[in-house]
Amino acid sequence: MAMKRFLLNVFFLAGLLLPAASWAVGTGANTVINNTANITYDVGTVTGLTASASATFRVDEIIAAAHTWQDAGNIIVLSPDSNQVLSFLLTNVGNGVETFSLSVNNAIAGDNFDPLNARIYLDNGNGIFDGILVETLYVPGVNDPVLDANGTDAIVLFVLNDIPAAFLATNTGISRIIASSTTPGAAGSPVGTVLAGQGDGGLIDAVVGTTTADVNANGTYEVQANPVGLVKTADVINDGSACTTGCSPIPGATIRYSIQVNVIGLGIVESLTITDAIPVNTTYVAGTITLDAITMTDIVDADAGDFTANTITINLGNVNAPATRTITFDVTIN
Amino acid sequence: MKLLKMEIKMKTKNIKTAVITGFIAILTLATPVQVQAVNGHIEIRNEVRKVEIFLNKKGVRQQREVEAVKVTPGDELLYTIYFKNTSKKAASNIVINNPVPKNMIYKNGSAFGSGTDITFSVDGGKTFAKSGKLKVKSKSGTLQPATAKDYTDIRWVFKPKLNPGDQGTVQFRANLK
Repeated sequence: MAMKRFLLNVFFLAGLLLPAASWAVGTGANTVINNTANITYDVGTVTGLTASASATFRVDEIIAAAHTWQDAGNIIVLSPDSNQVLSFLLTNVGNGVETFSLSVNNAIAGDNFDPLNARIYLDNGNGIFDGILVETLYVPGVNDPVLDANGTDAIVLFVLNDIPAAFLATNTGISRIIASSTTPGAAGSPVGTVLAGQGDGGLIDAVVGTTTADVNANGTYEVQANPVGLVKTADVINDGSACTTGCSPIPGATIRYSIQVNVIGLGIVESLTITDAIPVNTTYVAGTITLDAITMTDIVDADAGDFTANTITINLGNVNAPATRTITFDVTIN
Repeated sequence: MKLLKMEIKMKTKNIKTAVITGFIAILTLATPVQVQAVNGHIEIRNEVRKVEIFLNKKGVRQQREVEAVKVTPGDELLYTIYFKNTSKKAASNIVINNPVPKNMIYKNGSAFGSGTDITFSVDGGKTFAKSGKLKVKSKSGTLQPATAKDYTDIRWVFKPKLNPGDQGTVQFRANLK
């Protein structure tokens, strides 16, 4: 029964606060609002004036905060990687001074990996991460940010995470920072919850605002798409004479093409396939495909190379970056 | 001079407190601010209540007035001014003035008072006009129609006479900034 009543109260309070939704910034907590009316009149020949006593109330504190991710887009990382920075802005949009406790949750659904070893740093005031030696490491309960009212005070927070190994290009990992009001009973309470005597100065109540007393923001890491570089060279290896160097590219001469595949960065490049059409006026020399100096057959089979439809195809499969592979094949000039 | 005579008569007739009242009454003809001391003809009382919106049993939003506690920015407050003639003569030319409280925004259309003519000021009570006839300077210096948020004072001119013992009320609503 007691539980039921509590729920009803919460529902009711949520309802009454609906019209306040658009008032993020307002009169400061503890402000005393006075109203005095006066009346003038004639009684007989006397003109009188009476002023009323003041009708007064005191403004309670509303607890509200805003938290936004500041980076322009996903932070591009390698896999593995370390000390990757996400930037957030925490603003107090309530009407009283409020202290916030910070935490990070990396177990967020909708991503491919969970960032590791989360740490929060407090900005030194320039909004830019100047390194872990310059910014202040956040320690819960020790240097909780204290923010003035009405959006006049905000702090940039940096969340640093390490990135786990073996994740693929374009995989993402979400890191969530949570700021919770340290006013007892505020965090986790529904909108409209009244916290008796917990307003600024202890004379007034605090009311949990429409943003609730704990706000969070997500930032996303994304594993870099590995650039793959191809360097192709051609050497005339035989022109019918006994040449070893400086052979002439004459009809009948043999040209050896060499393709160097450079996979840059870290992580894994999936299903990497290299294809090269045989140039016009040349003819492929059967059985000359090599991958890293190992000869491949020309048919489509278990090995990586084949010659089909006048095109060389090499299936490199999943390549762990960084890596270099070298492909060669020979053609003769018609 | 006539007034002076009357007040002196009071002095001779009545107790010491009446003497003091009489003197102040004379002074205040020149400086109306001090006329407060004439209390005794009309009593004025001013009350503030919070307007609460709640969902009734059918889930429909309704309003009710409650004690003005747990007030936070955006809340609507209802001010009620009660006035009563406590003298033995009818009072006339009754005018009630109420500056919009600091940090409050007058709620458009909320001023109410039976038998009253309601005007507003946008210049701290120097001039009054009907809602819709007031102008304020925009940032660029041009005059533009004033809106409720520009109102600084509300004035009710109570048309009827207020007989001894009779009372009246006027009201307005405002939102906390």
